[in-house]
This record gives sequence, C-alpha cells and structure tokens, in this order.
Amino acid sequence: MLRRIAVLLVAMFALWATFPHAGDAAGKGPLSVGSKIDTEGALLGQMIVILLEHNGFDVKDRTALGATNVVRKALLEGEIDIYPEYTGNGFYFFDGVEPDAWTSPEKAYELVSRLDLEKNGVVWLKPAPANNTWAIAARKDISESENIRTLDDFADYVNGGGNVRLACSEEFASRPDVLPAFEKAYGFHLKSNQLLVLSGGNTAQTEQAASIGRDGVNFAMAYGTDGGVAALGLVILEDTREVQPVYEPAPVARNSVLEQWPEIAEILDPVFMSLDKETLQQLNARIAVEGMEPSAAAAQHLEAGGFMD
Amino acid sequence: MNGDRGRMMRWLPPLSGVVVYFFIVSAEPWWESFLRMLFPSESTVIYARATLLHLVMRHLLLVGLSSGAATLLGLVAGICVTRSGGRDFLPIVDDVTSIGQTFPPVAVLSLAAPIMGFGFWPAVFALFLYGLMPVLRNTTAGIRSVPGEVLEAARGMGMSPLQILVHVELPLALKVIVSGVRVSVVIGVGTATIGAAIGAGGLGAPIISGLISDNPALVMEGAVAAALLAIVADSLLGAFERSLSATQAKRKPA
Amino acid sequence: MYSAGEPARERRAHGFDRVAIAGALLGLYGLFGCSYLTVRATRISAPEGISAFAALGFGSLLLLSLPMAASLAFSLVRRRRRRDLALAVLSRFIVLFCLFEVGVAAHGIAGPDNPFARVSPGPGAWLVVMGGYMIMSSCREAARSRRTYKMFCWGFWAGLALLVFSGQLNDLSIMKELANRQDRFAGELARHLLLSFSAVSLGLVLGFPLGLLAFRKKAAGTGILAVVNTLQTVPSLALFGLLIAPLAWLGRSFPALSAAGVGGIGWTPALVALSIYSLLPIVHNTIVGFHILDPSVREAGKGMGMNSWQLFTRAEMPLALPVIAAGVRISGVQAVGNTAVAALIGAGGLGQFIFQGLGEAAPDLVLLGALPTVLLAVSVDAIMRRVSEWLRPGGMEALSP
Repeated sequence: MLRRIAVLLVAMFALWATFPHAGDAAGKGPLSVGSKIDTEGALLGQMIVILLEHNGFDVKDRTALGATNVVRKALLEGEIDIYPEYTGNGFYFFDGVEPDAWTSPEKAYELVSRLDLEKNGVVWLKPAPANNTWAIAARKDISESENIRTLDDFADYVNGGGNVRLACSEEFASRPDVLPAFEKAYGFHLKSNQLLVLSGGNTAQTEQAASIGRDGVNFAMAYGTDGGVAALGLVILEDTREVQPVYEPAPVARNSVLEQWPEIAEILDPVFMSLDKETLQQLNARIAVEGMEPSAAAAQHLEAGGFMD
Repeated sequence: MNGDRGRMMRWLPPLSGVVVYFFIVSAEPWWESFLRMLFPSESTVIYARATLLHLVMRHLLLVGLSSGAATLLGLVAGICVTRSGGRDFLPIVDDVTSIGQTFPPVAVLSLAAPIMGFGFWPAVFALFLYGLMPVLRNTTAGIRSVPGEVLEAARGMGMSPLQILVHVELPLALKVIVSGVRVSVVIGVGTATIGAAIGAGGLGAPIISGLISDNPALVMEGAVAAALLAIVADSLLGAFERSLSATQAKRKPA
Repeated sequence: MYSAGEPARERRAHGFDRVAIAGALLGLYGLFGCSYLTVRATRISAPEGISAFAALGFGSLLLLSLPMAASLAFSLVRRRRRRDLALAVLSRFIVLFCLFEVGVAAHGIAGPDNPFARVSPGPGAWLVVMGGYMIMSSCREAARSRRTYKMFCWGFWAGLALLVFSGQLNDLSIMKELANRQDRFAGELARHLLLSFSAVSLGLVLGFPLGLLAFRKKAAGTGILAVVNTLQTVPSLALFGLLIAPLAWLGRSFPALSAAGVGGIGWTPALVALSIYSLLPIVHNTIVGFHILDPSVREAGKGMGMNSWQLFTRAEMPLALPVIAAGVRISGVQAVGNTAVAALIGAGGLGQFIFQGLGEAAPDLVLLGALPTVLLAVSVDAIMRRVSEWLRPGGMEALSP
C-alpha cells in the first residue's frame, strides 16, 4: 500500500518535471516587450519582438498584457522595457494639458515626447503615420439610406429622433475625452437606452454587433485603423470637427534602456515610419478577419518590407 | 430540542446576515470612503455606471431567475424520469448530469455568448442550464433512495401513484433535493459574476472593469460584495436545509 | 411498478426501446428540420445556416437518413437482443459518418480555395450526434457479451481518433483556429495543466494534515471546516480579485519575491486562490475517510501488536485512502474549471482563448478554449477514478491472518 502511494508520488513529480519551464538564452538584454491587449497592440508588439530578436537581443515576450493603464504602469515600474503607445494618450496621461494641441499629429508627438522625457524619463521613438483614433462606425445600409457620412450627419440624425443604438465599451462611454467630447462638439446626446455598453468591450465585439444587428445595434465604436470594418459592411463616420486627439503609434521605452542600447532606435524607426493607415488596416484585417496570429502577420510584413535583412 | 428556541437559533444568523448585507450594500458613500482609505492613489474608487445596490439586485435577478427555472424544471424532469414511463431515460440523464458536474461553469457561459449573443438573457439561459444539473441529479438520487418497502407499504394502503409521489416520495427525498438546490444557487452566484464578461451586468461588472483598467478599488468593490452575497445565500439555504431535517425528525413516529 | 432498484433492463425486455425512438426522431429532425451547418464568410462575419441537403448532397444525405430511419424501425422491434445489436452498429455508423461528412462539407465550403470562410456544425448536426448517442446509450446494457461491447466501444473511439488525426476535419472552423496558433495552444495547455496540478498538490499538502487535525481534535475541526466551507462559497472571480491587491503589495514590498514572479496579476493570485479552493474537498474527504473507519479495524490491529504508527499506515490509511482520493478527484475537476477563469487576471491557460475569443467576437476561438477545458476536466475525472480504484486495498492484506 505504501509502495503504491510512493509510486504515485514519484509519478506526480515526474509529470511535474516534464512541464516546460522557462529556459535561459544568451544575448543582449534581456528586454521585456509589452503591448496592449487589442489586435493592433499585439501586432505592433510582435513587430518589436521579432525585430529585436533578429538583431541579437534576448527578448521576453509580454505582449497582450492588458489595457492602457496596466501596460503603462508596467513600463514605469520597470516590469516591461518597451511597448507601443499612442501619441494621443498624452492628453490622458498629462491631465489634459494644452487640449488644443492634440489634434495635430506633429504637435501631439512633440508635446508627449517632451513631457514624458521630462517627467518620467520615458523616450518616444518615431511614430507611424497612421491615426488610430476613436471613431463611430455606421452600418452601410443606414449610412446610405439616411445619408450619414460624417459625425455632423450623425448628430442631425440623433437629434431628429432617428433610431440609434450604439454598441461601445465602458471606456468609450465614460472617458470624458471620448463620447462626452463628441457629444459636446457635435451637439447631440445619447440616452442610456440608446447605448449597448459591453463591460470589457473591444471594437471587434461592437463592430460585430452592429454588423449582425444584434439587439438592434446599428452603430458601433471603432478605431481608425480597424481591419474588420470593410469586411463587416460598416462605414467609419468622419470626424470633421477633429474632436479626437490624433493617435499615432510609436514605441516608447525608458531612457535608461535606450542609453544602454541606442541601436534600438535605429532598428525600430524605419519600420514604424513605414506603417501608414492602409497598411495597418490590412494587417489588422489579416489578424481579425482571417484569423492569423499577430506574430505571423508581423513577420509577414517585416519580411515583405525587407526589414529582416 | 426546544422547538421554538432551536428554530430561532437556527434562523437568526442567516436572517440577520441578510439584513446586515443589504444595509451595507445600500450605503454607497460608506463604500466610497472605505475604498478611498484602502486605495488612496486611485482617482475613481467606486463603480460609476450603477450603484452597488443596483448591481446586487441585478445579480440576484440573474441568479433568481435561472435557479428558479432550474429548480422547477429539474424537479419536474427528475420526477418524470423516475416514473415507470420515463425510466428508460434514466441512464441518459445520469450520464448527462455526471458530465454536467465536470463541466466548468465558465465554459457553459462562454459558449452561450456566440450562440445567443451578449447580455442578460443569454447569461440567464446559461446559468439555468448549468444550475439544472445539481437539482436534476439530486432529485433522481433522492427519489431513488426511497426504500422499496416503504413504497410497497404505501401501495398496500391503496394510495394512488400521485398520492405516493406527493405524500411519500417527495417528502422523503426533500432533504437531498434541497441540498441540490443549495449547490445550484451557490454555484449560480459564483458563475453570475463571470456573466459580466458577456454583458450581463451584476457584481462581476466592477470586477472586470477594474481588472481591465487596473483599478484594484473597483475590483475590491465587486469582489467583497460578491463574496458576502455568496456566503449569506449559502447560510440562508443551509438554515432552510436544517429546518427541513428538524421537521422530518419531528415527523418520525415516537 | 416503479420501485427503486428495479433494473430498467428487465422492464424493457418486452417493450419498445423508447430512448432509441427518441434519439432517432431527434436525428431525423436534425437532418430535415433545421439548419445543419453554420457558415461564416469570414471569422467575424454573421453566421448563416445551411440545410443538410445543401451541405451533404443527395447521396450522403441518403446514407445518413437511411440508418436513422432503420434505427427507428428497429427500435420498434420487441425482441431485445437482435434489436440491440443492430442499434449498436447503426448508431456508431451514424455518428462517425455524420462527423466524416461534416469534414467533407467543410472542405468543400471552406477548403483551400476559401481560406477565410468558417464552417462549424450547426444545430442539425449536433442533433444528429446527440440522437446517435442516445441510440448508442439505449443498447448499452444489453450487449451480447462484455467482449462484443468492448469491441464496439474501442472501434468507435478508434474511428473517432482516425477522423481527427487523419486531417479529415481540418477545415472545420475550430481546427483552423487551432492551426493558426498551435504553439500558443500547446503553451497555454501546459500552463493550464501546471497551474491546476500545482494547486491540487498544494491543496493536498495543506489539506491532508488539516483534515487529520480536524478529525482528531473536534473543536479545531469545526473551526477548520467552517473556514474552509466559507472560502469555498466565494465566487472564483471574486477570490482572484480579492487577492490582487495584497499580492501586489507583497510583490512591491519584497523585491526578491517580485523578481521570482510574485505580483498582483498573473499566476500568483491564481495559484493561491486555486489552492484554497482545493482545500475543501480534500479536508472534508479526509475527515470522512477516517470517520467511517470501522473501529474493529483498530482493535484487530492493536490485537496484532501494532504500534500507533503502524496502525495508522497499515490499517487506517489504506482504508481511508479511496475516500481521500475521491476528494482529490473533485478538487482536480474544480481546479481545471477555475483555472480557465484565472485567464481574466493574466494567468494564461486555456481560458485565454475563451476570453480572447469573446473579445474578438470569434466564436470558434471560444470553442478552442472551452472544449479542451471540458475534455480536460472529464479526463481528470476519469483518470482519478481509476487511481482511486487502484488505491483501494486488495482486501486488508496487512491484517489478514
């Protein structure tokens, strides 16, 4: 009997020992690369991982870590060393300083990189020329039938008593610089029964809800570079009054890391500068619509662009 | 056992727990100051989209509807399957309930969303399906545990099948059935917290919201309220279970 | 007429096979009455149902509906043996062929020419499989001999394995999701297993002594049980959430721990919570296991001159072990389920696919997480039942004269 128990224990231990444990690797670093948990975050994070590994760094892949707050906190506390962030988020990080500057790409970048370096010792590398800002997308049929192409048209439709149900995330509905800002600038207000708020919502969910028309949803929260919009029969409404800050993605890293390995900037800058809106939309579509893993989509783009030579 | 005093001692803790719980949960400002004391560095400490009381009521609605339906259907199905007509289906029901027990609750909930969409009712349906298993299993087990001699005796006394069901089988199986209902409800309270991930609302909403925005105060708000709710519900049903055995003890012939 | 304990088999010897009738009718409804397969133009598009006729074509539909109708006919036959043999064969053929044809249809609709399309079994296909299962189950008890029955079972599982591993089902949506992220899947599966396994082990290491203590000292016992019971009722997501703040504080205050990976988010709160949940079944079953021991066993042992250590290891433990093992089994199954929830706090595991799929609105990614979790839970249950059997002492060898 005791023998049987002993056999069991040994078997259990052997089983436990066979589980893969993290191994060690040699190389420059180690560098921890993080990213936000959405499609584009994973894509850009993987690009950074692949490029750095290709250039001899020992990389810890911590992409798809969590939401903006989580990842930023991790960077500031040293848990990760580098991650892709959006220039427009500077408005959020620095408590609404110079509210008018953020709608211009150059000003936004200049402001956030200066402030972050001064206050947090964080460096912003070169951004990608793609504006991945908050947007509202409409179903193609309602956009065509009611002639809604811009947010001005949307405001008129809402105020005229049109049938509206907007699917969005918590963040979209409550962050003062998103929906409330739209409402203020365009002069409309959505009542709570006109909103379908998804607790941990993600644009893929909201866009799908609108596409299927689930629960009467006909408008959805979206991002400017979302890949699934066209495939789902949705149209992004233009922000003619430029209410939203410009959100261009750029790698951000702690100054200490870049001082130690300044070549990181040379490696990452050309790649990010090559990512325009259409390219990002295409890559995002490959992940969301076609089901490709972010690392595969990133690798494909890097190889096609000759960045891996 | 002094009947009345015993009964009071049994029910006092759970009932006072219920009262205290609702009192605590309605005192929103108290929560806010408590959480602010624990997490001074967070800008928002309390869930802004709904009051705590509202969240609790929604959670109770989720659990109440699903467990109510599960109890009703589980009881009916369990009875049907132990009648002579339905006995053929008993092995299948046994199989399904035993697999149902090993099924992780999160799987049922997450599979409901793609099929039925997000929101309150898909969550209720998933919770109902999952809560059905313990009730069904315990109903069949309870009814089957009635000794053959007792049934023979009842038949011998000339009772009709319906009378036997109502006066003999159900009363004897009641304790086991109620214990199944208790398991169903407690698991329901737990699974309903995950329901927020598919947009059902309830106490999981501040937890998930807090997890996403890295706000431990929100997480704490939802988690404490949910934990206390589960404990209160469990103790309430436990007292009910015990009162049933006391009644049964009283029924036994001297 | 319906007393407890009367085996169903005897009653059915003279009647119709009602379960098989129900199963056949369900299957026929699935074939003709509702949509058979669900098709999506892309991973995130709206689902569309297509009928069995459109999906399978006339020939295959016939090949599937004839056995179904035959099963219906056979279940009306009153002679049990012949009927059950026919039903056993027909039902297994139905299920295997249905799955095979689903794979063929998927290949046609979402094969290499249409890599973005997604096909998954719809309500009709599920009804056919369920109906087939019901027919299979109805003739289970009545196999001619254990050997024939075992042959049928093994044949069926072999057929199923062949279907999956030959790649026949590779164009199904869930398999496409798997193909797109094989490495990630293997990693998360390993992480899931490691977490669950470690949690149950910790639960055993802590729970067994606690259970012993509770058994020996009544006063401590009621206290321990009350605490463990209360912890058990706490919803898993809530417990994970409650542990985040204290563990984050711990990680911040002791940098050595932080370097080792202890932190608010990740595997630490998950492991702690999962171990706590593992406690109750183990503590409870340890107490019960020793409680139900027949005192004559101790007497006999003492009579044979054993000291208390020998009494414990040779007489009491072996008899209590099966009950304790059942507690470990319940813990294990629970742990597998709760580990899936832990993905919400960054612990990884199969739940990662569930919540990622929910977030990306990709139902088959959810399935890729949920289905293996269920299969894992069922396997753990089955394996632990075997282990319990194996641990059952073959008679009281230590004590028999």
